[in-house]
Amino acid sequence: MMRISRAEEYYLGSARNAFQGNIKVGFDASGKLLAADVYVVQDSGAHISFWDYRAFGDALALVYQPNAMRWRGLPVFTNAPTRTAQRGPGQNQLACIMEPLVDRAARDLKIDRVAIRQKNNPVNGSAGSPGPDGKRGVVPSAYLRDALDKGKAKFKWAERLKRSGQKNGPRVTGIGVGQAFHPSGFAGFDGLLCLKPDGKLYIHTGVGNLGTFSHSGTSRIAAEVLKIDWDNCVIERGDSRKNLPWNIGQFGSNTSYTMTRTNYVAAQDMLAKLREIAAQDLGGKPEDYDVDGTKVFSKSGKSLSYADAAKRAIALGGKFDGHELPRDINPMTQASATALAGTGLIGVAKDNLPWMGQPSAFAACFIEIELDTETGMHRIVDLVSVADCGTVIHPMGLVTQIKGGAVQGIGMATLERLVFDPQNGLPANVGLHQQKPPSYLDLPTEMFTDAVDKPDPSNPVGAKGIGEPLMGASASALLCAISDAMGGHVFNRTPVLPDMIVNHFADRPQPRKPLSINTQ
Amino acid sequence: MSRDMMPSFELYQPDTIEGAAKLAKDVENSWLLAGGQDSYDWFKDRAKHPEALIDLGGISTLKGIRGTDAGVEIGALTTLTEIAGSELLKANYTVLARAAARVASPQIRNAATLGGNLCQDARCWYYRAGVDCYRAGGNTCYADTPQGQNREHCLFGAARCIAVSPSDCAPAVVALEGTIVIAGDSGSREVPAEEFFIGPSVDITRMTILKPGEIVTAVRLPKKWSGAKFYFEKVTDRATWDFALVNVASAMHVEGGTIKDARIVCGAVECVPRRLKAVEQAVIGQPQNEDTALIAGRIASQGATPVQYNGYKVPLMENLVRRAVRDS
Repeated sequence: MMRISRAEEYYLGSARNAFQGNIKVGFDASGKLLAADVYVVQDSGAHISFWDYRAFGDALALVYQPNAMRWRGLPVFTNAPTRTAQRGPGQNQLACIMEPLVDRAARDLKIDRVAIRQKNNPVNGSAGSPGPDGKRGVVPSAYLRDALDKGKAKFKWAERLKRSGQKNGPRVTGIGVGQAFHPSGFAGFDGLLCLKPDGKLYIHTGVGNLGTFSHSGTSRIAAEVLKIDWDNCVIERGDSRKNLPWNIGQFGSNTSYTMTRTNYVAAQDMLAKLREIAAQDLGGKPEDYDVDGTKVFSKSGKSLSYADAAKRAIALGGKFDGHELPRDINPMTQASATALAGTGLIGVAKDNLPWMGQPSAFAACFIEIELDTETGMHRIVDLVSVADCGTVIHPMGLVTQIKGGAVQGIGMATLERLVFDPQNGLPANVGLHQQKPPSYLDLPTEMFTDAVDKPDPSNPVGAKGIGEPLMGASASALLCAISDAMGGHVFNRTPVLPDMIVNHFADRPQPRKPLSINTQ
Repeated sequence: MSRDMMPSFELYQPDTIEGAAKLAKDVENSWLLAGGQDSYDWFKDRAKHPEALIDLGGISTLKGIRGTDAGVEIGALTTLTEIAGSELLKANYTVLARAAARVASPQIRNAATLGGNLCQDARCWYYRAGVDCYRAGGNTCYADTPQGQNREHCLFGAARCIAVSPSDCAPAVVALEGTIVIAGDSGSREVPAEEFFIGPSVDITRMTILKPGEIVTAVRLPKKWSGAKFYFEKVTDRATWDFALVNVASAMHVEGGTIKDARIVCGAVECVPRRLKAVEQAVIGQPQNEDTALIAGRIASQGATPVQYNGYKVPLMENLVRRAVRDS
């Protein structure tokens, strides 16, 4: 087994791209964002990194829909530890930078903090992020306003706002709301299914398992199209010897959207073939037939069981059992389907479903904290997080995603950072305890979750991505709650640490220089 | 540098203090091991290279909390979980139980011992990374430079080294006027906790007066402070697991609202637990109220010489001392 120490991770692994820069935003009296001017310099570390700096601008254009915007991004190589895409690369930095500024505008304009966000939020069909050619597509669905409404109700926003700034000795209550976005889906991958003579549906999927079990959640769409009982489905995964199709890697909150599409198109292919076989054997036209999960049948009472249909597919050969394959599928899928040829009825297709625009996942988060102004420590009293992830396809998995994202956001806002001594090139936080992921005691006793649960029109089951914006939403909500407790926006950097808060309340200068990104 | 791999070593498991002391004298390049929560880090990081470990865990007389005529005696190998949960300590010496309960995490407290917590080495990250700093026998301090990352370093007592005492229990034991019982090859001795810890100006390579081969066998707490008014607070980035940015432990006798006697100690501001004698003198005879607390806080930080990133410790220390006087 290869072991990698935390110190070795400083050059084998990589951290989130660090930003320095400036941002200027202008709102009208109603809270509409008129213009944004952004200049981001990205510390990309020692090797080619990720385009967080670009994603930052893309996300700003989408989430806040400014009338006019100038964005400049400058990635630079440095002799610092390597950097790459971390959760919500660019989008979550945006949430941490922009959301406290939106609060500042709301405070200055005397507008409710949720209302000012909703004023600028995208809606279905809003202009999406600009492409390299400068042209902007549309967002198939955007229910961020709904997410804010749902969270507001669940959090009892109006009631809690009365506690904003309330003092209990040195402790002050802070109320915060945050929101974030992440592009959440691709198209063009392949689905591969095999209905075998044992009557079972074998769903071949290249989805990995990052602990989310989305290989199962996204496979259910095939079972639903064929109406087959989930107990009669077998998921073939986790090993390339299992003849897997060309699928997207599990990253970037893309699995739900992308893989429901591929399983859908493969199931549609299998459904068409089932009808065709039934029509050939039992008479009539394919469209006369339907399926009920165990058989393909006609209204006139003729039927063929799934097991028999699989046997017939093998006997018929050709496209039915995988000996003839669509030309547009990936060579990897071709190889896998060829290996399966002759073992059952094959459903295989490339996802050629229409592309309506970049599917976009959003999230909103509400946090109440109690900030101790004498120690700089805070306690999260309550947290409500709401996902706009399209149709909910796995409620239990969704709750875990929402909570997991929220915990990571708490770390991003107030704990985790990359520290090194620039003079000696020494990494400081090489131990897990120095890396400071949030602990159970840094979380509220209970975290409340919800989803908008409105379908995205560009996905056959309405699904979109989930995970990443939940991190940015909680990170920004916590930063906004801290600002609220401190009486306004104070810090132009993250994470916000107890020593910064203690210095502020003691009227002491902050030791960190504006452009230092390596500090404890 | 962290290497996450345990090197091999010889293991000795004595069952008497005398046996352990003899082994420590006879076995070359040996290391006395209690709960291992400090030691294992050193070994895994390959920054210390003992050839033999003398595991004290099998010596039953080193464990347990006993009431005595003079107060309480706590075996050095008593775990922090046991101390945090001890009814005897919670009833009479709450400050130590509270301090033990705030050390690291539950898993670490289950293994870590009081003796180990008091004797642990400096946590300066440069020193722990294995650089050739003064404390490690070299000729520079990496932390005390314009770009040094010294947020967790000292306000007082810098002498080539600016590391702090990282212990949470040490300020509590000093506040309680505890004594440390030490066994060695030539018998045992008992020293006040306040003298047990030493700064870099005394010996830059050690944090305590322990000589090679000496073993802490017990901590004794006098009756003098039993049932006093206590305060312990530790400020950290997270609510658990972290070492203190600053901590405070205090014991006060208050009669009719007037402070009759007090001992107040801060951790993580100096290489030793810093007893605040000037604060104690200022508050004794004064009413226990906000005004007295405010004065106490102001006096607490006098003489502090912060470095680049730890200036916040000045107001933080002031605030904690203020709370200790006001809220105990």
